[in-house]
Amino acid sequence: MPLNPHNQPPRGPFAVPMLAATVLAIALAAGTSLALGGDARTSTLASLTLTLASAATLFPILASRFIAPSAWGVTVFAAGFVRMLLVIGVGFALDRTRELAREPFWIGLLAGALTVLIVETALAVLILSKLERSRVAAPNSTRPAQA
Amino acid sequence: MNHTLPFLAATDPAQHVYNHVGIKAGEWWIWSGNQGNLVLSGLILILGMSWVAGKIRTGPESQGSARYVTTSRLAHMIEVICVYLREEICRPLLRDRTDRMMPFLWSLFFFVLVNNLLGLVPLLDLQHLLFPSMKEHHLAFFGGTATQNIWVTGVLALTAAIVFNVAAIRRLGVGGFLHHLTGGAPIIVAPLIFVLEALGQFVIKPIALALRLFANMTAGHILLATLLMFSGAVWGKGLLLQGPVTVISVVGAFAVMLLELFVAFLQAFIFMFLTAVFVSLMDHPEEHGHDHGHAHAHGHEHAHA
Repeated sequence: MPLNPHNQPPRGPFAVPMLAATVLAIALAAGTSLALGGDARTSTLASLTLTLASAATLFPILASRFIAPSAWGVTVFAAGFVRMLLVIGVGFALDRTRELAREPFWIGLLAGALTVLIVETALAVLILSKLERSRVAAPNSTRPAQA
Repeated sequence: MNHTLPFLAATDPAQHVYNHVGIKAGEWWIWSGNQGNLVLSGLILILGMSWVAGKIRTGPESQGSARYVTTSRLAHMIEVICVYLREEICRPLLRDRTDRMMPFLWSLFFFVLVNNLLGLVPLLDLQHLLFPSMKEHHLAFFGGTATQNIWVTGVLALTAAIVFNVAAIRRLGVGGFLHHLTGGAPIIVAPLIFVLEALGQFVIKPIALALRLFANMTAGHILLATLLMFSGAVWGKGLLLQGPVTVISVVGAFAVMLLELFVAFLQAFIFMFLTAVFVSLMDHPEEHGHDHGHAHAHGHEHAHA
């Protein structure tokens, strides 16, 4: 489906696959944690940490009305950046305050976080490429100035 | 060595090169100085470049011809660098794909550059000066040079490798890409050429990118730290020895610092430029074949002569 470069950034084409990827990543975090010998509590904490950190993913979706199309890519990048910092921060706080199996917890958590990051990057590149193609194809598109 | 030493001097010149742990969970490094620098450079680029883009952007029509003027010296400098890289360096290599590839290549250049420059700012030493207990425990929340960490340069090179290989597959198709890896050689030697070309494309080129940046940044910092170490080594050994050695050491370090400033720009440029070259090498197969043809023809002439 061609995107209109002059409209607000796309919400649906980004939100739906990201929701699916987040659910998959949370399940992956729990699964990896259990597979590496973690108990139910460790795998639950890994999933909860990722769920909490994934709140950052919502920002480009919920705030899409207030984001200029040209700033959408940077916003997605910043959201991914914040999510990774939250994963590290919340993970470290739990590591210090709870008795949990360290290796299953961290590897499960990072496996999930990496999955979301890869899907998010691929999706953002795809959407930005579509926007760029639409911008170039638009009759009143402005090309970069040639030196 | 006591704490009255100049804070940049160290007993071990490699101390400035090591990545320092910031937060540990057992034996696991959760945060390190290099990681802090990567986050810092990310923030500088997101916020700084958004501001610069705002200054470069064409203004409202009410401004008349002034709407096209870049309204900040820093933004103007960044614009000049961007235009130079695009028009003088990348367009002759990438031609019709230039505008499509430039966002990645500019990002690569500025990310490496900001990290190289952050490595020249003594953030690590500043933390250790302000919090001596951090120095005792070799801790740092930020500081050091992220681009002298082989893992960082490795990931950058891997990203570049994904881009230049995907770009090649998009241009040539999977079949064309695989055929290109045989170098147009006769069927008997094609498997051998294929293995060599594939190794070059997937292993050697990324490793060359990673090692070049890592080695250049590491060597410069060790040299700088070694020069400064001389002043520390003669500390308290009498003015007659201490004076000349300190002067020579500081002047030498200053000269190397200027060189390092140049190297920071040069290595960022080389990393971006080589990535563009690797894209372009797989981009014009018809010309590549044509050049091969010429080379072969010349070879035949020489052989006949």
